[in-house]
Amino acid sequence: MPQDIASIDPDWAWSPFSPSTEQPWNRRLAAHLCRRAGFGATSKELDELLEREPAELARSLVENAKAASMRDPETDALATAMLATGNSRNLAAWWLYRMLNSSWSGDQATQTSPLLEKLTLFWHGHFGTGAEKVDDAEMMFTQNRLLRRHSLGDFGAMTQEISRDPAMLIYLDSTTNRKAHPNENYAREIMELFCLGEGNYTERDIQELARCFTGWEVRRKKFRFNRYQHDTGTKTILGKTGKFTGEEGVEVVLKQKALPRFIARKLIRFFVFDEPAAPEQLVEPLAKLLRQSGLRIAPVIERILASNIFYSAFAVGRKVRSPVELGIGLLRCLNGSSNLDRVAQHLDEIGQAVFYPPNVKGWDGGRTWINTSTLLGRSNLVGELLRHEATRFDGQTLEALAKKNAVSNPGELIEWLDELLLAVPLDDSAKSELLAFAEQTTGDPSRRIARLIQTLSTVPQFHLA
Amino acid sequence: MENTMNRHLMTTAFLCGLIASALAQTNAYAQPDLDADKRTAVELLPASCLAVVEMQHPDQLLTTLTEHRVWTEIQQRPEYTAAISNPGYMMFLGIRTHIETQIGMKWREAYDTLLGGGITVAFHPETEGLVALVRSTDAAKLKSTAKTLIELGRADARSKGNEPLPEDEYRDITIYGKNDARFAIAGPWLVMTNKDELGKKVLDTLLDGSRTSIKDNEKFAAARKSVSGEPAIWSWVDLGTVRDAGLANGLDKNQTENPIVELLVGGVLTNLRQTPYVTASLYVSGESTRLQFAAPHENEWVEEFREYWFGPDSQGAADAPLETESTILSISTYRKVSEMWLRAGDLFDERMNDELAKADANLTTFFAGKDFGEDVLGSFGPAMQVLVNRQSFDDVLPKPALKLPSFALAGHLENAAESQTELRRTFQSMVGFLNVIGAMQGNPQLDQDIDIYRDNKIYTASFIPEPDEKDSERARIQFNFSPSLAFANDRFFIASTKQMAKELVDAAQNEQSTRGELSNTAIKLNAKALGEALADNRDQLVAQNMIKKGQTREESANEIGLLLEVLGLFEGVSFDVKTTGGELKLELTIQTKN
Repeated sequence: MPQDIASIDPDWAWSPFSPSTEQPWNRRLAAHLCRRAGFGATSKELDELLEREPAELARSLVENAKAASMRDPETDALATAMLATGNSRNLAAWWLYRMLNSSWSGDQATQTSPLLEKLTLFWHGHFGTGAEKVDDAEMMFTQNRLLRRHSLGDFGAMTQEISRDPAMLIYLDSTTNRKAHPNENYAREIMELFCLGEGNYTERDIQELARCFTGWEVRRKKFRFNRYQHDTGTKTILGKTGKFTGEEGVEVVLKQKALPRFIARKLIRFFVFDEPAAPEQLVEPLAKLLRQSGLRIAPVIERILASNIFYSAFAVGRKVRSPVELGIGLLRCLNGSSNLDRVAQHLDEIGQAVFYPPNVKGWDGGRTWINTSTLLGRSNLVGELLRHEATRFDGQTLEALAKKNAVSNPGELIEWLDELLLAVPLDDSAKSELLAFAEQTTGDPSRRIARLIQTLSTVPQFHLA
Repeated sequence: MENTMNRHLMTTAFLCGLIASALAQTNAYAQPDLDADKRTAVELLPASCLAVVEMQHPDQLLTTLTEHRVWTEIQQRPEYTAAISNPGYMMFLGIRTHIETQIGMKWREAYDTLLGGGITVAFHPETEGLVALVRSTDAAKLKSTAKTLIELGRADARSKGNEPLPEDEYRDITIYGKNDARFAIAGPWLVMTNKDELGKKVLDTLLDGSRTSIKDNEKFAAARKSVSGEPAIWSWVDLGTVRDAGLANGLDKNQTENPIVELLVGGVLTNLRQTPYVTASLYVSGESTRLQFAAPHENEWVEEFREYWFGPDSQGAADAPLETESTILSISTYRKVSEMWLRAGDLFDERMNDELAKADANLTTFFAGKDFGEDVLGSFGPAMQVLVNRQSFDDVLPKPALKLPSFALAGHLENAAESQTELRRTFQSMVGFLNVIGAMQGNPQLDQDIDIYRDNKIYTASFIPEPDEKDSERARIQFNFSPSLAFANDRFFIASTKQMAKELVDAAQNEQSTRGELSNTAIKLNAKALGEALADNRDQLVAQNMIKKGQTREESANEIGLLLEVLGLFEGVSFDVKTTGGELKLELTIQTKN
């Protein structure tokens, strides 16, 4: 395998991964898949997933996610109850509950899949919309449903719908758009942040696209087209000329060659590696697939999750865990449950409050998750999760969970946690130190395990995905 | 010679007499038969005790508790069965069985025998000691049980390498323990204390008798006289001495920083600053548990600025609550709120006075220049009520997703004809103000109307739903409210819903008398109505439980179901404050269902 990402063979990169003796399909790789395609998995879940080949598994995960996306969370009784108070902060706990209780096996009773929730989170960051400005739980929930419904579907349809989403328009101060003075906010963001990226449009394109959106309004929290305020004149956007409506203007943007590359690059960064930026030759095959599939996301995700590069050293341990991945991941891997209101607050403190992205760009991710204050906060989050009175592991204690997983001494405990929680294995020296620490600690067995996990959280590998 | 013999005989007789006399006196100082001691604990405690707690019949109390319906229901729950199956509890049962075998009595028999004569605990200020006197009904069994338990304890200590229980002697009585924990068995008495000196005082009284005891303390005696019925636990505190010793510095403050605290308990603080003692009594029966605090009260003690709380001659009485079947909570009280507001300078500290001054200025502006304290609050009579009722949403659309209870403030107007107009205008202005703010925030608007109900006018304001919201069964939280103002004779009702305003008009027109029992404050919580209101929102409760505890829906539903079932075992809770018969009484009662 080449050392440098720039010289990687894209055909090899995106070909399906076939396990070999040099690189067997094992728990560690299955755990890597679950961390990236979801929020982690328990030992039992990993063993079940290992029964299938990686390519088949990727296909199955995508199919399960697509099926789950058809199950409308409007019927979710928990969501209904959370919305009853009208408080957007309650929605965060609801979403974390979905992430935590999603099923890898496609169990319909649990309503959702980890991949579906992970992708919804991706799109929530992509189409950044903050509840503090929208200030309406129902609208934020409606947008969340929209993103979930389309997360593996047609990107074009999703963009059309999000363009008329009241929460988005409120967030971008685009609740009125008059032909005498077109509002350029949404026109700029759809090209710069949502579809094309910088350098693929001009200021003139923004102005012309803004004219397409004239007459688009939000009244009484609903989208409305005010035909009297719509500029019916001819516009020229990105080299295309016509009397475009708002929807037609969006279509022009969607047909740009830059779009598939822009989206593919973002998907690579989210699912494969944080840095360096993926070279063009690596992005192009996925962009082509996206284009050929009519901007459908599912085939691209399946390709990524089944690929050689996904299981290679370029990807494994090459992302920094986001706060959500850290917190929900820890609970998910240990079959844990806790006070999710409190978890949501903690995630906010370390930089990721779902439904409250910092701005329309969403979260920058990567190294920006780690700084002097968030590093301490991340360790505190782990400690709080382990110690909180509401936290249970498999409905019981950590000691009971360890016994259930046939862990009977500190050495086995470290091996078990290493495989389950760490993207990059501990070296022998780190293991020895941890073992010495584990053997010195006294007291209640569950607290000793908790202290060991908290110590583990201070190791750099713990913060990698 | 005869004379010498006579002298010898007389000397011998004299000496015999002396010896006999000496022997007789020695017998007088011999240990009394403690096993037959019939005295009560209060005859053994020093007269200068500051606080006494008595449980005269622990056996009866335990019987009441173990036969109580709530306990019987709990024992039938699977959660209880699971709780007593855990290893910790099993180990406890094993230890208990072992001890029962050693002492030759089942635990209940041991409890009734060893504690059946009563438990009394007292605090003695001079020694700063606590003493507990436990009287058994069988002195011999007490001795043998104590001996066995001490031996068991010592054996256990030895097996763990600890020091065994030390012992000492005092006047032929063995004292066990050391430092802050010592006990002795004397006749039917188990004496426990944390101060040697205090323990010895009690033993001396036990052995020698005493001229005075706490029984002779004037305040204690007066308190005992005023006890009604047979409380399960009774306690007494010599508050006068506590204050004189400077141990109740908090009571010196005449001013508070919290108007709510002042409103609720200001009068109680006035009493506590003067009253010689306070008692607390706990009454337990199958139907109710009642905790009563009582203290002597004299009208002369009430400062002028606290008359708002007590009323003239401390006879201010609350109205009978305007309760209906759907009432969850009623708070009926006597408080002349305008006087409290005007007396703020005497009642509150500087910081609160600044806040109230600002509020006064703003409220005076809001009420078109009328002085808030004198004119606005002054138009309300002192008898006020706050009521919370369960709302019925049966025939209502749109129906809010979260079903809140309705609430109301009820009172009397001093000059009804004039005050009604002012209050109506203020209400209508408030609704207009809410509409302006609501419009800015995208909230539904309130539509005002006037209803005539039983010849009384009700001014109402109802939220207007959006066209697609009219038939919703998951409407916004605002649809819990339809603010209303109603008048009935000199009464006014400000309610959160039109339905409640009507219920209050009904209740006011149906009530027999405006003066019920003479309570200064009466608070009542109806468990049935509360349970129904919670059940209306079962889905929300389950959801909150799922989020807060991370449980599955089934687990949360079971937990909420259990909460509602437990609530169903109770009738309610009431709290009364009365100033009658020269006493201030606070009574908290929890009633269970039969």
